[in-house]
Amino acid sequence: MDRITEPPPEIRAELLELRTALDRAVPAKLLDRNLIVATWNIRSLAEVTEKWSSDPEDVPPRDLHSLACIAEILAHFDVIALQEIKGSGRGLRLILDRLGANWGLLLSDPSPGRLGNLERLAFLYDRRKVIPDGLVCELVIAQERLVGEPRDGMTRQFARTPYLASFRSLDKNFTLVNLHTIWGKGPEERGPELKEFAHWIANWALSSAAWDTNLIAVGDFNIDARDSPLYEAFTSTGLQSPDDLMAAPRLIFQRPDDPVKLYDQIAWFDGEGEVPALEFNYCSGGSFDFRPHVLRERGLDLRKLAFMISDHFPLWAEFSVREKRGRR
Amino acid sequence: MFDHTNGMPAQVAGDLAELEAALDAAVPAKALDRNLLIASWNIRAFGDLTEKWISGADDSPKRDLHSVHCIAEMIARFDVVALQEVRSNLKALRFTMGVLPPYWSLILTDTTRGQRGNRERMAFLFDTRKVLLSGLACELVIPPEQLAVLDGENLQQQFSRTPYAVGFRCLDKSFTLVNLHVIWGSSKLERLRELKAIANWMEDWSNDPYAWDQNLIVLGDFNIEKEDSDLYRAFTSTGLRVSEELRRVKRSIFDDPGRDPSFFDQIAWFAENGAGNPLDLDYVTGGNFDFTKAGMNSRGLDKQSLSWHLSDHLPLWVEFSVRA
Repeated sequence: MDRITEPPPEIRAELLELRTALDRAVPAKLLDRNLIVATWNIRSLAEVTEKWSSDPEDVPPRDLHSLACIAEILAHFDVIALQEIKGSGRGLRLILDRLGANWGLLLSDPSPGRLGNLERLAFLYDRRKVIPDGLVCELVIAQERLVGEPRDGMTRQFARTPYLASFRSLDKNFTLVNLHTIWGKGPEERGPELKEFAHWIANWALSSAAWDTNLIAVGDFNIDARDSPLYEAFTSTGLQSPDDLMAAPRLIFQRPDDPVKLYDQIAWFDGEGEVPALEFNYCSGGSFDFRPHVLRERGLDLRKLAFMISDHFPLWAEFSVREKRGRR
Repeated sequence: MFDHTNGMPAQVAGDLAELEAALDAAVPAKALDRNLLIASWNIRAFGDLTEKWISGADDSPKRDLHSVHCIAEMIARFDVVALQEVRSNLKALRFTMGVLPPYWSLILTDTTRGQRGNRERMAFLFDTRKVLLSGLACELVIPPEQLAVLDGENLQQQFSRTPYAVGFRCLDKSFTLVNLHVIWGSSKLERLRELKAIANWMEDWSNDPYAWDQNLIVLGDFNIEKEDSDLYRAFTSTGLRVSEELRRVKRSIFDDPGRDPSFFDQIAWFAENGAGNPLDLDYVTGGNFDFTKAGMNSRGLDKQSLSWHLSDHLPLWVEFSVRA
C-alpha cells in the first residue's frame, strides 16, 4: 500500500510545530494572487525504511517521520522542481500520497550511464493553483552541435537531461526548466553544461515555435559562488535572480560567516537583454531552514540529517499573478 | 458533433456525417469500466493550417478546417492517441484541440533538434474521462558509453526523433506508451540501428525492478516496409509482438491491392514468452481506420492531395479490456 499511516502523537505534535514555522517563513498560497515556485534537491530520495522511527542499523535511515516532514514542507508551495529522485521512487510515491488528491506529479526516467547516476527529475504541483499545460520534455542536444568544435565545449548530452514542463496559472502559462548539473571532477567540467544551458534557455525563449516564453530555470546548478566563472556562464544570456534570493542559504552545512554557496537557483529573464521579461512580478523569496523544526528528539548530527531530510534547503520564490505586466 | 460548427458549409457537414457513420461501424464504442482504446497516427506534416473551411488550389498548406474536423472526429473515437509528425508550428494541433471537447488533454515534446529531427514533436492526445496521466513523462536519451560501442548495428547517436514515453492510468491499471517515429534516413542501416535500439531499450525497461509503471506498449511509425524483413526482425528481436489483426491491416492510403502492403506503423508489446514482462491488459481486437472512403468525399481529392489534407497514414488502433 502506497500510504503513510497516521503518525504517533509526539510526531504529530512536531509536524504541527513545523507547519507553524513554515506558515511564518513562507507566504500563504493565495488563489488569484500569488504563485510560489520552489526547487529542492532532496538528497537521494529513493527507498524508505517504513517505520516511524528508523533504528541505527536500518538502511536507508530515511523513515516515515522524515517523509512526513518533507511532505509538510512541500505542501507550502504551488509547484516544486525536485532533483535526485532515485531507485524505485518509493519515497516519492509515499510523499505524493501524503500530499493528497490535490497534488500531481511529472517525472522523468532515470538518466542512464555513469554520468546520469540514474537520477530522475520531477515536478510536484498543487492542482488548485497550477495545472500542466501540455509541454513536458527533455532537452536533447542536436548531434551536429556536439561534433567538430562544439560551442561551449559541450561534447555530449547533459549528464542528467534537463526536464521541462509547462504549467498554467490563471490566464498565464509558464515553463519550468529543471536541471541538476553534473558535479564532475571540478568546476571545469561544470562550465560547459552551464553555458549550454544558458544558451538553450535563451534561444528557447526567443523561438517562435516555443510553447510559451515565460521561462523559469530551477534546480541544483552546483555553482559555488556569485563571483565565479560558473555563475558567469549561468547568467551569460541574461538569467538573473533577485538579491534576497541570492542571499538565502542553500545548504544545511552552510556556515553563517562563509559566502553563500549558490548551488540551487530559481532564475529568469528580467527583460534587460534580448529575451523578454517574465510576465510575473517577483514578490519575495528565500530558503526554508528546516533544521530547528524537524526530527528534534532524534539526536541527529547534520551529516545524518542530510540523509533523513536533505543536505539542501528548499528554495522558493513568490510571484504575483495579479498585475498584467507588459512584455517588451 | 462538436460546437465549432459555426459557419460550417453543408458540404462539410455532410462529409462529417458520413465519417461518423463509418467510424461507428469500424471502431468499438468507448465503454466506461470496460475497454481501453489506444491509437497511433502519423498525421502528415501536422503543422500549419489554412483557416478556411475549404482550401483552394492556391492555398498552402492544403490542410483546412474541414480536414481538422475530420482529424478531430477520428481522434475522438479513441481514449489515447499517439501522434507523430507534429511539427514545430502548432497551429493545426491547437485548432484540433479547439474542436475536441474540453475533456481532451494533450502532452507533447519540444521539437527534436538537429537536421535529422525534421522539426517534429511527439505528442499524445487523451480523453480525461477514460485515462489520466500517471506521472511519468520523459524522452529516451542514450548514455554516451552505449553510443561508444562501435558495432555496426549499434546506435551511434541519439534517436533522430527522441522517443517519448508517457505513463497513463485507466481505472486501477497503469500503462506506459512509448511513442516513436523512426528515421527514414539514407540507408536501411540507419533504420535498423534505431529499431534494434528501441527493442533493447524496451526489454531493459520491462525488466527494470525500479520502473515507475509496468505495462509497456510501444507505438508509432517505425518505417518498416514489410513484415518479412531484417527491420521487422530487429524490431521484434527482444519479443515485442504485433497482434494478428493489426498485422493484416493496411497502414498507408497508397497501399493498393496489387502491391505489397506497407508495414510502417505498429502497436506492439511483449508477449508471454518474450524477454520483457508481458502486458497485464487483455487484448481484445485491433485495426485501422480507412478514411479514404469517408470524411472528404465531396471534395473529389486524389490520394496525393488527400494525404496533405488528412494524412498518408491511416490511424492504427487496439482495444484492451480493463474489466478483469
